[in-house]
Amino acid sequence: MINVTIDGVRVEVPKGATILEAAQEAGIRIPTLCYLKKLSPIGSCRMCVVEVEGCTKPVTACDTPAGDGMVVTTDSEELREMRRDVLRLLLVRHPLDCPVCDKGGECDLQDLVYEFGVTAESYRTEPFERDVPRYVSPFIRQWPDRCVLCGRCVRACKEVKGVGCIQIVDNGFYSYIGPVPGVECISCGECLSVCPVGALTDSVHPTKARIWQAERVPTTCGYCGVGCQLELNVLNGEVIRVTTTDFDRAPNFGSLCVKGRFGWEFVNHPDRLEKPLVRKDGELKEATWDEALGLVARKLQEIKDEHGADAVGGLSSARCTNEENYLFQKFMRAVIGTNNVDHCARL
Amino acid sequence: MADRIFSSWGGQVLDSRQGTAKGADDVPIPRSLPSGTPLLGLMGWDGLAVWDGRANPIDMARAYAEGLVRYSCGQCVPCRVGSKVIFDALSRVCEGRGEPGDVATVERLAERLRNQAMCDLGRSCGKAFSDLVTHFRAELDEAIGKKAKVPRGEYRLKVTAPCKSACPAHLDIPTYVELIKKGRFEDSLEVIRQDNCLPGTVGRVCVRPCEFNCRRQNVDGPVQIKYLKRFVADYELDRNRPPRLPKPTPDKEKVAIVGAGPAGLSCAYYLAQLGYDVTVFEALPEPGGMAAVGIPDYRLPRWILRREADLIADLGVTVRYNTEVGRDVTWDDLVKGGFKAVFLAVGARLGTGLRAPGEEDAKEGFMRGADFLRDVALGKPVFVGKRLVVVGGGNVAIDCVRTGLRVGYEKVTLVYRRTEAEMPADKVEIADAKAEGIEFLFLHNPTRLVLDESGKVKGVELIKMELGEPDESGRRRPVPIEGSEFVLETDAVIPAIGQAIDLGFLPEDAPVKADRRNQIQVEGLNKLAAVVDGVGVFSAGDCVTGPLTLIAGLAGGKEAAFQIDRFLREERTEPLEEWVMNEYVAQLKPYDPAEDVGVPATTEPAHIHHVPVEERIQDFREAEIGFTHEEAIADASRCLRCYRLLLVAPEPEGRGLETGN
Ligand SMILES: Cc1cc2nc3c(=O)[nH]c(=O)nc-3n(C[C@H](O)[C@H](O)[C@H](O)COP(=O)(O)OP(=O)(O)OC[C@H]3O[C@@H](n4cnc5c(N)ncnc54)[C@H](O)[C@@H]3O)c2cc1C
Ligand code: SF4
Ligand code: SF4
Ligand code: SF4
Ligand code: SF4
Ligand code: SF4
Ligand code: FES
Repeated sequence: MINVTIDGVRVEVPKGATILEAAQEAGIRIPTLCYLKKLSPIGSCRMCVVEVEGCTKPVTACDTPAGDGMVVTTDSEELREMRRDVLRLLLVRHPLDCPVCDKGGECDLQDLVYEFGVTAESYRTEPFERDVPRYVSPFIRQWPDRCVLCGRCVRACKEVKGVGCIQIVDNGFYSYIGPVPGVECISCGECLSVCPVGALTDSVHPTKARIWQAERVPTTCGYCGVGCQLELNVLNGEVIRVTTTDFDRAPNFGSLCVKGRFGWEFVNHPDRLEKPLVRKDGELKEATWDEALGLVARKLQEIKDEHGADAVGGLSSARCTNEENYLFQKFMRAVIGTNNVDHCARL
Repeated sequence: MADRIFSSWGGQVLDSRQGTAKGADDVPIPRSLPSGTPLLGLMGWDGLAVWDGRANPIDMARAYAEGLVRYSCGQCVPCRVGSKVIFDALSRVCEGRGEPGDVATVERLAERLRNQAMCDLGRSCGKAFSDLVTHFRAELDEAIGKKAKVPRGEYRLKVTAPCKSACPAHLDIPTYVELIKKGRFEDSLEVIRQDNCLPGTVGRVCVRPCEFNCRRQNVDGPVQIKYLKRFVADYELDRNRPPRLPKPTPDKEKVAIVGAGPAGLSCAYYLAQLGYDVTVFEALPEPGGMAAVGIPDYRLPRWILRREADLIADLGVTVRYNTEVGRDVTWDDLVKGGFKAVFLAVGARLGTGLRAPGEEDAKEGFMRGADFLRDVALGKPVFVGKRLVVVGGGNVAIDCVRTGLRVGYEKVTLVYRRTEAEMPADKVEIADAKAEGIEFLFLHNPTRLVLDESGKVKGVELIKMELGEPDESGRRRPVPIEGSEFVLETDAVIPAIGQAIDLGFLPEDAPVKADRRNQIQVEGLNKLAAVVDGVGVFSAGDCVTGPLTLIAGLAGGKEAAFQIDRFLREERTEPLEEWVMNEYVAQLKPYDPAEDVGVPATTEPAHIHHVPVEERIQDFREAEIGFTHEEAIADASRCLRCYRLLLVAPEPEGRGLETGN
């Protein structure tokens, strides 16, 4: 363990902890933009600059390991001016899109610009045009001018998903996030979920809603037994998006696969069954749950009485949760009384 | 600013207007490129210099900013956007459209670059813009006030880094290290392969001049550049990934190469990629030269080298092993046998003696270092007794003692005439040898071999030495202490004090010139040794420089390949602009050991792992174990990415460099 003093607060942190982590331990917030806990820090946005006693230049808190006895200042007029300049420079090519941007209301850039009271006029470049190729996944729309090039998407794609199909393309001012030749995107949306601004947006559902308009309903993904946690964004009783905003939540820590993140539209489909159907006079008719379950129970009982419990077999689904699958095998064994139970994932 | 002489280079401001510079000669950096082209002005990581009024600092800064926009990696905000804002402001000024706030913008953003940019490209460029505004504010204000156009100059830009500049092959170290940090190991290897065809080899045994010029050592120890290279090379091997190399078709002229050492292999590697039909003649049964039969297997497993040589052969190169030029193939076969160019890369394969009485008469127990190592490497029998004395202080001497231990000597002593501090051998190697139980006898020198009647070595007479005045190398000269001679008993003596160049394959009348040490004379950077009936004879590597290093051999081979290409395409030899700039950059000394880098010393270099001594001295198994992924990424993350940009304004006539003659 090492001792670090942050703005006069002494904290003890493990060796190897960054200055930012030490500050978090001390309960002191340092503004960040490119940093994200689940990714390796790169120190590229330069928002998190702090002063370290004995160092002639400001250092970035997110990627600099703290040292024993280190004395850190996280706030001064000079540091604030440096942070403001980062924001001013970001605004040089950032469009005034907030009113039409998906991210408005939960955008890190918007929040920081607001916090630091920065306006767009300070610096400027000569106008320029550019063509940027389409994004690597059809489910995601890219808005290159909104991008702050924090590289979170790049790191998430490589470090979390092990894919590495996007990178910074071109140089300097003309850089943008583009494809890595020869590496295919799996459309998992990891990049989308970590983008701090509205540079990557979900292009599945046309309906948009501000954060305060749609309700975010936490639920478990129904596609497989991993049990990923996600949020259904529901507007007027209709699912319009899936998001993951809690990166500390097990088991998936904000990550999803293509199905969980983008494959939910069946929920809104008109053909989807919403009530149980029971065949009456050769035709499937809507019924109540009591009626339907009662019928199934009766039939199962009849089979069991006539042919024995082993005449019944149960096949469960990978699209149920672990808990549901557990209950199902319990039901087959304890209630029906057979070991004939299996799971579609084995087929 | 007609004839203002100015320099802010080297931490000192010289200005003819303030009387601190009288003439162009006061500027503390070389005024001409190594090609002879004089410079009018220069802008770089340490400031700017103007030797001649025709160089306009404002336009130089505009072009410099344009360079920064081009080379900025786009990751950090102050540089990605700041460079463009600066460039646009300076462009406006130069075009007579400057605005009153432009100077303040440049000044402020230059400061942001210096203190806030992520890497040293942005940081070091900031200094030049700051110096411009500080020292040429009046000129800037005047240009804006008068809306006057600033005349445009012609410039050359060069990107460098302290480590990159120190590497003879100028590997793009900051890029390959950064790719490791990002987990892009194969991409990193691809970058290395652009300048180095033996990454796994060099990653194990390079003498690593880069690390001795790494800025991170000013903070908390150099980036482990060598072992990182080994890491990515091993990554490809361990996973059996197909190497990313081109498949060229040899549709151009035939070129002959003598010697499949590092220089010869490197030349073949580039020539094959350029489409030449290359044949390599090698006297030994295998590739690698001294890297195969000099460097012992416990430092460099032979199969690593063989595999890397195979990859070069796969580019379409024919290698004829066991073919001694001068015996199996004649000089005339080369220069009259249809080859349009010949590259001589014969190295320095002869061991040298002790120059002490007795060695001529020794029948058993006396071996020259290079011969001993070669025989062991080729599996030939060598004399093995109980005690061995090796004489010398370089890496070859260390290789001999450690090899001696492994072939079965029980007590091995290294005798060196100076002290440990003066030993040219790598400190790491010395430590490894000590750990293996080698005895070191410093400040001793052999004066005579002691033989029995049958010519067997019985011992060696040594004289004690003391250090006197420094010699031309700066090291204190060892002087013998009269009367201090004594005999050290031993069964074998190996001098490891140098290798000599063997030019026996050249006929008397060959127009290739060599100096008294047999070093082949070439036209500087051009590597041209002679032209024989239109066939260009080039040479590089140890046979030109004297015994040097693997990486220098690789670099020489590469440079020769591009010269051969130019010779065959354009029928002339002329150093490539890139090399001229590399040489000039080296003269500017991009690494400053006294620099305060300004970041806290809170990391430490990753440590390589060693096989335990008891195990490793049993045989020739590799003694070191490479980094894990985590170690490699952690070490790569310590890199400060010290790219630097240099802009020079050459005298306009000097532009003939690329087109001259
Ligand atoms: C014991 C030892 C240890 C060393 N350790 C290191 C180290 O750790 N790191 C490092 O960087 N450098 C090291 N070096 C130096 C390095 O190996 C050499 O500088 C490098 O190999 C030179 O490359 P080259 O191609 O010029 O010559 P060489 O490697 O000598 O290759 C020349 C080749 O030409 C062949 N040849 C010569 N004459 C003929 C002929 N007439 N016909 C056909 N073929 C011929 C030779 O057989 C040889 O294969 C070491 C050298 C020695 C001797
Ligand atoms: S990304 Fe953020 S700042 Fe930019 S337009 Fe969208 S909401 Fe506004
Ligand atoms: S969708 Fe997934 S695979 Fe595709 S770029 Fe984004 S993170 Fe990478
Ligand atoms: S797309 Fe989003 S996450 Fe990716 S670099 Fe741009 S702003 Fe960052
Ligand atoms: S080159 Fe260096 S200073 Fe410039 S954008 Fe990249 S990281 Fe920043
Ligand atoms: S810190 Fe990185 S870029 Fe700088 S000298 Fe060392 S290896 Fe080169
Ligand atoms: S948060 Fe530290 S540099 Fe971006």
